[in-house]
Amino acid sequence: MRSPLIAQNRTERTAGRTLGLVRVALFPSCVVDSVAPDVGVAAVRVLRRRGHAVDLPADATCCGQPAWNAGEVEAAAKVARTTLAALTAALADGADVVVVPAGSCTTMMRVFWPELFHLVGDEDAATAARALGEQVREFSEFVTSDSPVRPGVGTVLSPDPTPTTYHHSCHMLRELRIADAPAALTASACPNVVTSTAEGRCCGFGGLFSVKLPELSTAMADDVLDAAVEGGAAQVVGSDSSCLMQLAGRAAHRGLRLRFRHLAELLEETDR
Amino acid sequence: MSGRQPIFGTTLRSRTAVAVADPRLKASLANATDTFAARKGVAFAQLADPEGARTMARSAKAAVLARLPELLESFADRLLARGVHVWWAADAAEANAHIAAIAASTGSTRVVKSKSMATEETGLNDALEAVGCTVTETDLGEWIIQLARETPSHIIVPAIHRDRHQIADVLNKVAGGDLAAVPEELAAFARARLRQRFLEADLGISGANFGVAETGSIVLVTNEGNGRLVTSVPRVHVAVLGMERLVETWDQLDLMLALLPRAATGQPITTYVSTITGPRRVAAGETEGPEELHVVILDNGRSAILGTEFHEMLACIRCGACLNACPVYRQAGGHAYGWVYSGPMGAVLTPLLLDSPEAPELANASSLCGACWDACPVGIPLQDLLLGLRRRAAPSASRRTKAAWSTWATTWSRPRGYRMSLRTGALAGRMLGGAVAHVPGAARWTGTRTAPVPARRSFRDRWDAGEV
Amino acid sequence: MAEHGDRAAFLGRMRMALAGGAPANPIRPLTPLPAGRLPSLEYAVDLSDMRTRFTEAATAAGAVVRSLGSPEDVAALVTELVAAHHVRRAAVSGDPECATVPDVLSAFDVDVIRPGDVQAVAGADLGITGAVAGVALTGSVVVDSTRAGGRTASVLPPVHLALVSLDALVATPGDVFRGLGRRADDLPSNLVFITGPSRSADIELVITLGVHGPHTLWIGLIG
Repeated sequence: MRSPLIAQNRTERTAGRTLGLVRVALFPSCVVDSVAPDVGVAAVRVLRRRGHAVDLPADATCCGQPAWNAGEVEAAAKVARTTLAALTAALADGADVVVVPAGSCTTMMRVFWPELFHLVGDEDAATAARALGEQVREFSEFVTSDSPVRPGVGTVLSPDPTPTTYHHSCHMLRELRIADAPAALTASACPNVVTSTAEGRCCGFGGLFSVKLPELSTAMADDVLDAAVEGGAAQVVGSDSSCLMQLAGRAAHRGLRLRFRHLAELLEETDR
Repeated sequence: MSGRQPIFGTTLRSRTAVAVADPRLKASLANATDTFAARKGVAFAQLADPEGARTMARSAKAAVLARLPELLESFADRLLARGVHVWWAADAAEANAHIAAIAASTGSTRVVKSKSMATEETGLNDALEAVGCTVTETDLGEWIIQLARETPSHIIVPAIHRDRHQIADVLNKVAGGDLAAVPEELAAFARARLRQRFLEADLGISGANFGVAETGSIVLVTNEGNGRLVTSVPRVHVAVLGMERLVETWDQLDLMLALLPRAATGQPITTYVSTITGPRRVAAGETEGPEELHVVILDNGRSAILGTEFHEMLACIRCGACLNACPVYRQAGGHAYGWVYSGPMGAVLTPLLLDSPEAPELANASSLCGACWDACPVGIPLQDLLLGLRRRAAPSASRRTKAAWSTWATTWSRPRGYRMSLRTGALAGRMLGGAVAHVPGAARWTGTRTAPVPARRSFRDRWDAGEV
Repeated sequence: MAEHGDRAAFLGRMRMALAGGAPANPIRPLTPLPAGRLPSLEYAVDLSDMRTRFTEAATAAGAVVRSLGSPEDVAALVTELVAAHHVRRAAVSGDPECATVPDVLSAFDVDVIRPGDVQAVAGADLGITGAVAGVALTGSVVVDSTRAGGRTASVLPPVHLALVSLDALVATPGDVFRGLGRRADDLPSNLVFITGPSRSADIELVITLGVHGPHTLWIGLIG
């Protein structure tokens, strides 16, 4: 259980900071950056609405996961090192926490970075990664537990009645063990909750897996989509844009009537 | 090192593509995996601390593996003390030769077998038939696939890829065509036909789920009773045991037996748990059981896994829970893995045990979702091992692949290079429009999924422009 | 010569592999084992009334359980099974619980087959054994091949009757295993836990009974 950031930082920070509010360094992830920037925008708006200050470290790029999953450790470490340096600098510069609107990238940084740097023999980076990992939060995790909220802020003002199912992305579910937080946030925004019989099942993205074994990847997406549709869902909410891209792409190809939204986008809309 | 020939000469992609296009297979697999998963939850709830039990089992297995040579010595000495013949088999060829020698020295030609994955690994049946033995698989599912000349598609239910009609087709070739596609009728036929084989056999060959080092006992976990018959009726019994399948004590066995059937089929215990210690005890008044008991201890590539980053794979108790949890197995079935072992454990073991250059790509038969790890009763992090196999294979990637990763790393390790590539990607995407689909790699996506449109302006660009 | 192959080379390969110690996965640390024997496994099942639990569990596994308060009850059950299953030949083991059974059977002109003649046991309509233990958690009966004198009476005939004394009930499988470690020289060649009739699910996961062991298991709980 991670210690609350505020208590941790209280003795270190000085005046000019309203008690209970946090300086966030946002790491959007390369998928959000390139094909889903609205997710980044929504995340920033939600965080600001809750009173936090949000900054974007300019020199962070990618967490290196695509190469890590392919077994290419040198390539992964080279890219990860850049992001590690940028985020470490942001924390040193006054940010309290790094927030990531992507479960798999959060996992990469918190769980796998130390091992990655160790494998390429960069023990200094491994140590820095372990330290950074303590300060990294996935978006829903942050919004739920570390984000103290001013009274009245962050309650759902306009819930969405669409029958909605929450899709757990695999790293977030099994590595980070973050499941209740995003599901609860989704349920409070969309009270018409649909539980799918494929809950917890992989969407079939898996990075390059999706194009190395496309028939298999597609069949896995169909499994998840069919279960959502059978359960009566008209909307799928998730915390990983890569999973949403896979599911939405397949649903569009099949002409399924399903809307796909990142949790940040959902909260941004329903919190007004 | 390898025995049975794998069905390679095909790519993993082609095998999975064929499998996912088969609706009957899909229905069979969904039925099997859903059923097992549901029962498993109920069975585990009987344990006061299921997670604690799994953690302890993982640690117990680690402790056994750390001292495996010493425990095998104790095990072998105890076996010998009880009058058991001990055969050390370095590889498949040696194991098959040992068993053929046992058949020859005991004058045995009629062999009945109960399930043994290790003997599928070594291709024992073919080797025995080559020296004039008739070999009958007696596990119902194994007998069906033996008749169909197929390999098992699931550890626990090897014929699960066949529905009742497809099974009736197979059995009717032996029965002469009268059997209806009704499970009870098909099973009754199997009982009658195989009963004769049990009674006529002179050699019974079994696997072993565990060996208990402290007493030199072997343990068989079955539901049908064929394991009991194979190990009790013929005059000679040969048990083949993978060298890693030991526990040190009966306490450890209790823990494993509490987990194995619950994880495999959702049963608190299988119908029969047989513990075998030595051959028939004539002096103590036993009048039945084999006069000779032989235990073949098999390496066949396991010592090459010991002490490596894949070491933990040797903790596997062959329960099949990972198959039942795996979304890839659910769609592709066991034959897509090409060899004896399938699902996540097969994707890890096959490249480690088989020398074939086509085996390493099995590590790609995974989205690394981790459901296998969650399901494994001894806590093996299979997805870590699959990633380790990908790292092992990476140096052999094509020059083009290596160059692509190198370029990617150089570009994306520089903030400006990263931003530039996002812009270029967006521009290229917009300019080519629908032509993106014609880019070779992209077609693998756009064939079945609408491609995401790269944003005109990346998140970073919008931030820099003050729009966020 | 009872040992074959090259033990030294076999183990030597393994010792070399482990020379650097067993590797640790840094992301998945191992929990150290307690010293000495493992603690007994605990179950979230009420095992305080073993007789009731045993009956429930055995029944749930597909066995038919009868309480037998007296020797007359044992005879009555045997008589009932002879009629119900049209028994002309019965295999009877050497377990002490079966001592009175052959006389009951003879009274009905049923051929009594003793352990040893496996082909004859295969032709029996009913197999009767005792049990060295009954396990309440799972509803299992445990048959000891030395005590029984044989093995096949409980697996070859299509119907099996297991007579188990109430005194022989224990709570969990661990209770049976716990003493076995010290008995290496003494263990029977075959100790089998039997839970319900034989079953297979190999055809579409549909359960079929009696492939290849008995399709019916009767348990007589004596005491």
